[in-house]
Amino acid sequence: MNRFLLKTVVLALIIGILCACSDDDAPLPLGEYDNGVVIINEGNFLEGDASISFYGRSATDAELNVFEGINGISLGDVAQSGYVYDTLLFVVVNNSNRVEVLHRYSMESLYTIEAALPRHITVANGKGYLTEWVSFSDAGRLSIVDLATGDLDGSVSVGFGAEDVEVVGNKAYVSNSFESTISVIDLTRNEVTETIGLGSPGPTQMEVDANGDLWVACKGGFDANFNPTNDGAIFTYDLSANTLEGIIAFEVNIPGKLAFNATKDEIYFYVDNTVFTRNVNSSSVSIEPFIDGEEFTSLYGIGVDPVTGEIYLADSKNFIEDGIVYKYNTSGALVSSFAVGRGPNGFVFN
Amino acid sequence: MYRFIWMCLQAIACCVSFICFAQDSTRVLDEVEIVGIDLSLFSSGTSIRAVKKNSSVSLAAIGDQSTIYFKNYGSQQLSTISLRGTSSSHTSVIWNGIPVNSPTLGQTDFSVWPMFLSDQVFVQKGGASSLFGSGAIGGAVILDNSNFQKDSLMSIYLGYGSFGQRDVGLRLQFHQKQIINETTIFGSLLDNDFKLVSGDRQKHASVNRLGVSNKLSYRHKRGTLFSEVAYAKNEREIQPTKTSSSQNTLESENIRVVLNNESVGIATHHSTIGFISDQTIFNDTSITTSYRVAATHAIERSIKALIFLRFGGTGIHEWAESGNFNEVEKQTQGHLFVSGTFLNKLGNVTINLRQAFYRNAEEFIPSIGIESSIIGDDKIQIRFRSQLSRDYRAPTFNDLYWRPGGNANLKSEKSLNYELGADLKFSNLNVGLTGFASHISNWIQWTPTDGIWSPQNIREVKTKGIETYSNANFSIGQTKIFLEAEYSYTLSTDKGLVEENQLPYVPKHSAMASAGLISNHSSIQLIGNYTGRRFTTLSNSRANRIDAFSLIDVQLKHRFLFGSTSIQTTFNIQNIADTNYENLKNTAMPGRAFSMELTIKF
Repeated sequence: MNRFLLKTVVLALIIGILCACSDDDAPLPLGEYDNGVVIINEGNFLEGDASISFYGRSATDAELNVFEGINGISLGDVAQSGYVYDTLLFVVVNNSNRVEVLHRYSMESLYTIEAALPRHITVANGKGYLTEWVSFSDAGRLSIVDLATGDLDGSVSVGFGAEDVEVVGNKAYVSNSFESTISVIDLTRNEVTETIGLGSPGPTQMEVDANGDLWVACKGGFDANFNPTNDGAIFTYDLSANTLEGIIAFEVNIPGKLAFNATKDEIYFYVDNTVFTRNVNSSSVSIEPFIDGEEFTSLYGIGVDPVTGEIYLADSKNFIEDGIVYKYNTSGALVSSFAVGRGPNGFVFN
Repeated sequence: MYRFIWMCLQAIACCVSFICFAQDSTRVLDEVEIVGIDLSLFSSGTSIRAVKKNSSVSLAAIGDQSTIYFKNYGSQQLSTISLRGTSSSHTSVIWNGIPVNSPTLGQTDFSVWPMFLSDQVFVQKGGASSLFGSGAIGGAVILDNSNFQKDSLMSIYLGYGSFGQRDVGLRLQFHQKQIINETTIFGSLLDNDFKLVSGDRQKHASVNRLGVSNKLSYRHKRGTLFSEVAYAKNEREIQPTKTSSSQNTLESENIRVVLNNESVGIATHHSTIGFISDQTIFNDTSITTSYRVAATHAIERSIKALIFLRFGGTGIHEWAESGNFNEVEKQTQGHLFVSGTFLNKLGNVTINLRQAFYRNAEEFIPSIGIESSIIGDDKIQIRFRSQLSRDYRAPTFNDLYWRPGGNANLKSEKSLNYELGADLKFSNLNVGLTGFASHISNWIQWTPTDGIWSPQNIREVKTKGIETYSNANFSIGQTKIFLEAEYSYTLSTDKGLVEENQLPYVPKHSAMASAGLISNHSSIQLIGNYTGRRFTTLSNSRANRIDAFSLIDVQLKHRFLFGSTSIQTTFNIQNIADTNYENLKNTAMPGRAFSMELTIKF
């Protein structure tokens, strides 16, 4: 071990101890729902049984139906995704055509954003950016949300099936999930300036890693008879050079879900019921399974706790049973599991 | 094409319908009959019960006066049946001898068909595939109009009620010598803007119905020729869940035609030809149309009134078109059946055998039923009954061909059903108890893989339970008193997944009680109905539970007579306690509702 590295380790240890000490008089929880994991449960299409579950990090069970318990109304039909910003929790309820905006730590409903088949939201530069499918036959759009009022403050038409959105600097990237493209929007002019073509259909989730590269999961497509074309892939796109940098090609269609650790250098994803991980700087050709051989019924969501590094996996149980969430440590050993609502599809960490 | 067929049928119906006579549509407190249809002779061991018709609007009212659970997707919306813990496609609906479950969905929406168009409705619980073919795993609902009788020339029905309910019905009868012809028309409009707990009114839930039928019976030298042509149309705004503002619509049109000839001789020949067409249009754009032609010939013979034999064959051809199918999908099936009932002093035994042929499959469906009656003295009568049956359900067009996800390799669902029961009749008191158990394998379940839902033969379901009924009637002076109670306990668990947990939307407990008084031309009836808690998933968790509910309805009737004209007035209060409840999770149901009906018979 060289001297430089040793120093770093020592320094890190000291910092760690200092942090540990300061934990003794840790800040008070910011609310009843601080220090835990918010689970977004999609619910079954048309049954209006989307819900939020909350799992305290040291708890054994999750609290179910949190939104309904606090606000007295049901969340709606098909909770697609969740996002946190400051003290706000955004829950995008796709088939109820709205976004519920809650206080992140009390789960009290603050206001709702009316939208057309909304999918994902992100916040940058003090504004909300919301993707909407609009309909199955219209082009999707990226709408700008006034976070003070919840009103839409203009929209930019993008490709079909506008899915995920990432904002880097003054550019927004929107994955068009009914196509094989990403729309790039200049946020100073609110115009699509570029459309990035990907080699695989169904781009869904996007994440930016520690190097500033954009990771895009493409689910793969279907032929005219709705048979899968088995061309799921994960692309990395160099945002500064505007070039496709890497591709992990699968010979099957994939779920299109990704999760990064807190330092954005380890990516986690799953194909069927096997979970994989990869360091963003790895040059290895093969990817080894991280969690394999577990008898999941149907994995439906993945998240990495930025505080503990633990990996959370959501099993939808095919929507026939209530969902189950499994918590794994960083070496891939199962820590615990607990029941959640119907069709868990994602996590938000408080 | 299908409109053309309909126009032709209408023309024929007009030609044969001359004038009129009337039949009372709402009968006051009929007693439960355990008789009625041709096939009852071969249903030994089971109980077939007639349904009282307390509403003219839709067949979904079958659930109001029984413990049969109907899953209603809102108020007057899609309504499907669950018999003995099975799903909506496990009850076969038989209309004048023809199976009428949709070839694409494999189920019947009971809210579409007006009750006004049905004369006799029977429910046979338990396996009945050996008599009725595919789908009769939980039981069968039998709609039989072939026994219609001479009645008054014309009757007019008017209904008016809460939430913008307006109904009108007309029944015209002509009879002369051997011919009886009856034409029935029913129309209904419902705004369905009932008040919600929040104080708002339900939006986007209106339902319009139209039903037309023409029945003709001709008594010839050797028997009877019967024909019916019926049409039902239902236009509905699909009621969104409580937190949704979706604006979907569904329009459905059903046509049913039957021609049935009975010819009595040394052997009796029954020939039936039927045609059905179902069309649904979702949001004015997505059209699904299906057709079925069915022909049955059965020969019946009795030997010294001790042995009854029935044998014959059925051919069915079905086809369907949908934007979700690759092409016009077709299916032909053939059935051969033999039944025998043997009577002696101790009781009777029935054996039914059916062999069904499909393109890629064959099903052998046997059943054996036994019944024995002990008659104590004039007053007490006890009947024991038991049936063991094998039953099946073939996959539907949607299961096989839906794009995406359809699975052409599906097998038929198979079940083994057993039941044991007893009926006691003591003077004016009737009491019955039935225990049942069944094991259904290859149960078809749709599950998602990477966003595409696809059906698989994955479920293995065990059901068991108890059903009881009791009714009594007695008189105090001029007043007749009727009391009735039913209770069902149903366990339905998926053996393959979570053991011991109840299937979604199957209440463990359900109960019904009613009391009525009839005096001269007036009557009052009070009906209470209890539906136990249900779950939306197999986990049976508190989070996905729907609470139990009780509903109480009241019906007052009075009949006025003016010479040969009678006017029957009915006043209904439904959900008198204004209970807030859910049948389907997160879907609002109406509180207290009032309605008035007028039936004028000339």
